[in-house]
Amino acid sequence: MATTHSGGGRVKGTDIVVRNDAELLTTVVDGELIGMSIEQGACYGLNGIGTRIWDLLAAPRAVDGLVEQLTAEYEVEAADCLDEVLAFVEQLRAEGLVRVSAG
Amino acid sequence: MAATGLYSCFDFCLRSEISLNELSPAPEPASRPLVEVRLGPVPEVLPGAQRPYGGIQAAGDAVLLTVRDTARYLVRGGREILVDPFPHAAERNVRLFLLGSALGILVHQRGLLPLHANAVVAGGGAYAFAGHSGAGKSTLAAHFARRGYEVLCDDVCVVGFDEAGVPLAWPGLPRLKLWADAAAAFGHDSASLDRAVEGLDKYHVPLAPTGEQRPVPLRRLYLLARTAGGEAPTIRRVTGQQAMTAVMQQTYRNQYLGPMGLAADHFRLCAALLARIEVYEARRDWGYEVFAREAELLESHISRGP
Repeated sequence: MATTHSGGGRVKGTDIVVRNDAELLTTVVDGELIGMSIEQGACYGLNGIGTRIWDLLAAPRAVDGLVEQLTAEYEVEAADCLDEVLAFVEQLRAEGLVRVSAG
Repeated sequence: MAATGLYSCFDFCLRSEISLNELSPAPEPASRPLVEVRLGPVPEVLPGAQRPYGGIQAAGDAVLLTVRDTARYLVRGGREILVDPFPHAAERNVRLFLLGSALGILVHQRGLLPLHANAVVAGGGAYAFAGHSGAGKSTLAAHFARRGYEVLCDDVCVVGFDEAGVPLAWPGLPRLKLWADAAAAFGHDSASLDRAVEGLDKYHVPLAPTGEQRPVPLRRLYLLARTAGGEAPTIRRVTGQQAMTAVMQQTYRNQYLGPMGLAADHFRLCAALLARIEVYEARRDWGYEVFAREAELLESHISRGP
């Protein structure tokens, strides 16, 4: 049985990321994906790669799986990509936009 | 029983037991939806409401607004406002909050988007100007009025959408709120004007009535900001998240949207607006001595196409 991380645990590459769709409204303005957290009332602009990650998370995925897909699409080193994706997922989790569970 | 008056107000009519000389009388019979404004007892606590938040209690389609020393207002379903003035309340202030916060709540309930902005009409389109208090919105509107433009609204610009999704700005209250010095700069003697708020040196300057209460397609929103000392004024396009954040921040009484459960609807209205209008940030110098030059810059920007 997968366990959900408590707020303190760091996200790992093997963790599964699940989008909290009920928490986020999205729209596109001037070609930019904009999300708003209903809970927090705050507005987020996702850059190109952030938008792509959000799209990929339409189905739950492991962080490693995201990295694999992104390194195939963008010119980026796997290690750098992993660091950035982990930071991004941390941020999404802190805002309550995704849930993370051990893979 | 108080006498009732019928007034035009955005895309509806107000039938009010409180005399509202600030508004234009509506033709009878009213061809638009009627909103009732009644005098009557309003409870201190709204049953079923969460704890008061930002001065309001909300439950279901009802919102209770309490303004200390003035009145309690119960706004229901975008259809009626019940007003319960406190003893010894200044009548002017009862009307001020009725036509301000209470009407703002009603407009949100009706699915309209009220922007904290004024708007002028040029070439068949409406151009709105937003900015924090003291950014010179009303002074700018007074300038446009003097230059022969129709001033559609001051302070709050209420936007609705037609069936095709075109945002329409509705005429607002036919007056400007100006500080005494600004009124004087435009040749008004404050002694002959109606004071906007008891105890404040702010006055209502009447605008020429626009006659028919017809909405005008909104084309642009300008965000008025101040230049850091000595910088040249600039007007630049704002897009994406910045534009979205600006529209959300410039929404009138946006602090009520969360408690009213309208945050998601509001987000969609802002997105629908931004699909159709352009947003610009206009950084200007300050002070009456440079005002005419700054206002002319904006005026010429409006008259140019995108």
